[in-house]
Amino acid sequence: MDINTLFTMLRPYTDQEIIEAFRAGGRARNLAWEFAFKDWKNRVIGSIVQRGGTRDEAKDAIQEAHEEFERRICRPDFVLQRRLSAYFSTCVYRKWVHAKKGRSMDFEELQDAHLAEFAAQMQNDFLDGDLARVLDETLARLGERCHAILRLFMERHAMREIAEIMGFAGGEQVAKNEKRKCQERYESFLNENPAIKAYIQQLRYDG
Amino acid sequence: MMDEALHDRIEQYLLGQLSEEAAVRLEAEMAADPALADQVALQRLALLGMQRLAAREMRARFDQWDAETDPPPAHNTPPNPWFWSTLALLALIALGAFWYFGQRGQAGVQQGQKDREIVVRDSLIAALKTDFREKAQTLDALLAKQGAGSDSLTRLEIKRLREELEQKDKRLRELERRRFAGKPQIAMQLAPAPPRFRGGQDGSVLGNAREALESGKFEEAVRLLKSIPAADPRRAQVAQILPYALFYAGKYREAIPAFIILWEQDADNEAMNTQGYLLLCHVAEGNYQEARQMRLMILQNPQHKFYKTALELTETLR
Repeated sequence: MDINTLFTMLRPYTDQEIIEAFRAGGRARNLAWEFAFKDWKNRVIGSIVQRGGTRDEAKDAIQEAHEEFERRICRPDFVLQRRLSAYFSTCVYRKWVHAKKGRSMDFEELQDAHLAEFAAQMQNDFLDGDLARVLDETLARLGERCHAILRLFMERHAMREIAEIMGFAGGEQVAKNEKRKCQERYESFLNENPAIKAYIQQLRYDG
Repeated sequence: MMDEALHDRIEQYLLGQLSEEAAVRLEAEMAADPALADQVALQRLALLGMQRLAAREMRARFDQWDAETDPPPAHNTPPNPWFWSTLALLALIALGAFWYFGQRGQAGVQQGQKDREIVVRDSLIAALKTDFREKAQTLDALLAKQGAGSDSLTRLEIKRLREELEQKDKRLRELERRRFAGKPQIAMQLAPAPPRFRGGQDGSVLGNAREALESGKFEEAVRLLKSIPAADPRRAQVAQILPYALFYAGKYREAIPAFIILWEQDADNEAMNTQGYLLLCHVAEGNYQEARQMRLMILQNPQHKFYKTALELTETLR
């Protein structure tokens, strides 16, 4: 066990703390994810392996399920009905089943409305495959600086934090302007390339 | 270029941050205005790209955390006599070199210690290279006598080991370069927001410096604070503000003694802050030994303001 794991284990988060950290975004969110990943990983992988999956498949499923899981946790109407790790485990399991069975996945009777939504959402996964590749190619036109700004924004860092991280002396307003410029550059690129735009839309909605 | 407020409103809508009433209103506007509907669709795609950026980053983090908690299994290759003899030789030379350099140099002189480590490493590599060269020459002579061909297994093994050694040399140098490079971006990323200091904006030099610090004009704050003469009675207040101004202005080397003075002057109130900022200054400057010591000091107190920061630096300082 490395020292980092040891320290994380010494200061465990409660489920509620994780939810609050996810909702707060930014650095708090990243730390909570680190704790959650390290604390839940073996259990989640174990549940997939027990059902005949491999460790690598389980890890892929974790990678792909995390975003939708986090989005659901952050919704104001989310109510935690059981342990958060169990909820995550079920989300990853659904993701794994989806990856194994493809679109022929059988939507079972899901008592938990959130899980049912989660399962449906997976049809629109964009983390792998053609959509991911097209997005990566189009994003490559933005450059590392814009990538960092837009990524920090999506991780819900406050504009002030983004300014600090990126070293914008003008502070929050400069960060906001820079983020908007980057975003508009991407939007302009899509507008100027209607075929690519249409292709992304098609891939997006085809899932 | 579209209206900024509308752009923000659409973004909030797409991120689910608009109230239900506002969302319904926007949807009604979209239904009546195809141009607006197009703009929403465009921003939706742009957000998709941004989500992809965040997802890629998370993927990299998961891989890193996975590696931290699940080290790769050891290789199951059969024992190689060259490998073990190389390792033994390396250990012997390392012992000798550490003993030799341990006799010299004063413990605690950080720069000297860094230099010694580099010298030790270089001497190890040089010694290994010489040893291999000698071995290769001896073997060449022996093999020539026995008439072995140029594709002899021993020759190939020597060639392979030589290449391996050169790769190790290159990797070690790269590691050393990275190890001692300062990481100002990480330091700034982990730093909290600049503190606010008591005292009104009274138009005085000190007041203006405080104002400059609060408004993010750190260079200006440093300039103003340094303009206050040493004999000035406000010097005590300057000593409180200057370290932070230096830090946020990116003058980490200057900030280190300033924080140490502040720590000595006001240990009761400033100990945690100065320790945290000193840790970050040392990271920024690449003074990793000092940074590690400071990190350990902070980690002894789970209530420390910079406890999480110290934890976050575990990987950086490894």
